[in-house]
Amino acid sequence: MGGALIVAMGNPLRSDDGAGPAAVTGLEGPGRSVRLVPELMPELAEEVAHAKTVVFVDAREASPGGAVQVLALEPSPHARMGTFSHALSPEGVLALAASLYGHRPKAFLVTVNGSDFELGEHLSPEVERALPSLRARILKLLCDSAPADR
Amino acid sequence: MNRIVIEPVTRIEGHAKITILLGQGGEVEDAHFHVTEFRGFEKFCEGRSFREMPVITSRICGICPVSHLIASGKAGDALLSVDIPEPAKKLRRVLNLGQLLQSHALSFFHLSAPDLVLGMESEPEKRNLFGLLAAQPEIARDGIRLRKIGQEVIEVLGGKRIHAPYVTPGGVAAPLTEAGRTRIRASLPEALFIVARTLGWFKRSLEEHHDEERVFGNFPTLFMAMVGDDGALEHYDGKLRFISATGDIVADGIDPAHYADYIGEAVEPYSYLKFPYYKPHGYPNGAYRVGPLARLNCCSHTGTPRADDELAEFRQLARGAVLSSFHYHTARLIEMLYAVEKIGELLEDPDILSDDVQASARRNRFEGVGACEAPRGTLFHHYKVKPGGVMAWANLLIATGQNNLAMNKAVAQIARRYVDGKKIQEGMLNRVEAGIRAFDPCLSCSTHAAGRMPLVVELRGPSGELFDRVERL
Repeated sequence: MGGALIVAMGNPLRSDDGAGPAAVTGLEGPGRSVRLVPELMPELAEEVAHAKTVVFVDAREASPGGAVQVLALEPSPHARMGTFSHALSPEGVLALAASLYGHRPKAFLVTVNGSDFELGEHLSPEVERALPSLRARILKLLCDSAPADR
Repeated sequence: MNRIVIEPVTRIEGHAKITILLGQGGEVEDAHFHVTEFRGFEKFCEGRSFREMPVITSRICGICPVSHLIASGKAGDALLSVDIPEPAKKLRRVLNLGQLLQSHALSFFHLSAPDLVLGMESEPEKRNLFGLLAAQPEIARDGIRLRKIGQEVIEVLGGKRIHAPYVTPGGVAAPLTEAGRTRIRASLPEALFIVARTLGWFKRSLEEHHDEERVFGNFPTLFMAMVGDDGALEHYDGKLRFISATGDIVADGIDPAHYADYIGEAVEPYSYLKFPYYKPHGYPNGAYRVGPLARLNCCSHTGTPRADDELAEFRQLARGAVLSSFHYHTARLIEMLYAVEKIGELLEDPDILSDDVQASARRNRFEGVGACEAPRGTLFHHYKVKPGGVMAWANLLIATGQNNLAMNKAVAQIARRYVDGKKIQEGMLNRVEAGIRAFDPCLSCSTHAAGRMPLVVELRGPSGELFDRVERL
C-alpha cells in the first residue's frame, strides 16, 4: 500500500479554476504523490486504491473568495458531478476504488472559493492570498492522518 | 408543430440538446441535434505564434488533445516547409495510436457499455459506470486498464498523460528511450488480450441489438477517411478517400491540404456546430460520415494480422459499405486491436530510438494545413500567418462537425421508430442518446464543454403548450 496522494482538479487556463494545481505544485515528496487532472476519470481509481490517504483539491464558485473548506469523504456511487458519467466525483472515484480494488483510503476534499473562472492564467487576488493557507490545510490533513496509518 | 426537447445529451463529451419535431398527427417530422454553446478557439488563436499552436489547440479537449497536437504540429511543418525526420513521424504515430486506444476505451467501455450491457430499457439511475460495475465488473475493469495503457503510451513519450507538449512544428520534443520502449512493450500483451476478449463478447452480443443495428443511424451516406498509399488503414499521414454507400470509391488520392476544394461548411441557425458536406454533391445531399466506421469502410486492409481478420468479418455485415452507425462500436473495437498491434510493430522499428527527431527551419510559407485521423474522425488544422509567424487566421475542421448531418439524420430515424408523440418514455430517450453516443461526438472539440445540467425533455403542442416534461439529474 502506498502513501499519500494529492489530486488537484482544475484548468489553469480558466483563472481561479487553476487554484488546485497552483496550490499543490511542489508538494511532492517521499511517500507523497501529486496528480494534476482536468477532471476525475475512472482510471484514477486504481491509483487511489493504492494510497493510504487521498486529498482531492478543487476550486469552487462561491463567496467569500479565498475561503478554504475541508470535507471528509466517503465512497458513494450516487455522488456524481452531473449527468456526464465519464467525469466522476471524488466520492465516485472512491467507490470505484473500493469496488474494483477492495480498498478505501482515508479521503478528504479541500476546496477554495474562487470568483473568476473566465479564460486567463492568473488567479484572483483573494485566491492568490489563500494559497499558503490551502497548502497548510492539505499538509495538516496528511500529517494528522499519518499516525493512524502506522 | 409539436416538439420534444432532450437537453442535455448525457455521456458524450460536452453539452447538447435534441429537439424532435412532431407533426399534427404526432408523427416525427424531423429532428435537430443542437450545439448551443460557442467556444471560438479559432478566433483567439489569432495574434499568437504558430509555434504555440500545438500547445494552445491541444487544450481544446481533455480526451483527444493528442489529435490537436498532431494536426497542429503538421500545420506547423507545412509552414516551415519541412519533411520531418522519419523517427519523429514514427513516434507521432505511436502517440496517436496510444491516444486512439485510450479514447476508444472511454467511449466503448465507460460511455456506451452501460447501454449495451444493462439494456436500453434499464433504470437510468443504474445505467452508468457503477451499474456496469455491478453487472459485469470485468468490463469496467478492462476499460480502466485499456485507458491506462493508452495513457501510459502518451506519458512515456510526452512526460504526462494529458496535454503533453510533445509534438512541435518540425518533429517531436524528445526521442524514445530504451526504458520507455520496454515499458510500453510490457503492457501490449495485456491490451491485446483485453481487446480481443471484448470484441468476441461484443460480436456475440450483436444478436441482442438487431433493433439498434437497424435504426441507429442506418442510412446511405458517403464516408471519408485517410488511407495509405496502398489503401491501408491510416491515422497519421495519408490521402483522403470518399466512398459511396455501395462501397465504390467516389474520390481518392486527395491531398488533405486541398480539403477545402472538396468539403464545404454550411451553417444552420439552430446550432453552433457547422455542417460540413461533400461539395460535388451539394448541401445537404453531400452528407458524409467520418471516424472508425468510415475508416474501416474506406480502407482496403488494415495492415496488421488480427485486425485484418476482423476487418474481413466486419465486411460480411453488408454488401457495400457498413451503413449502420451502431457499428461504430464494432469498428472502434477493431481499431483498438489494430492500434495495439501497430504500436508493437512500430516499437520494433530499427529507427524508433533514434535521436533524429526534430527538423530545424524558419517559417517558409504563409499558409499550411495539417491533418490526421483523430479517434472520432479526420481532423484538419488550417493556418495562415503573417511575417514573423504570427497567426492571422485559423480554421479547425473537427470530426464531430463532419458527422453533424449524419447525427441529425440518425436522431430522426431513431425517433421515428421509438417516439409516438404522446408520451415520453425513458427507453426512448436513452435510445436517442445512445444513437448519438455511437458517433462518440466530442462537443468540447467542436464548440465548448461547459455546462452541468440535468436531462430535460419537453413535449410541446402546436402552440408551444407543454404536454409532458421529464427531468433527470
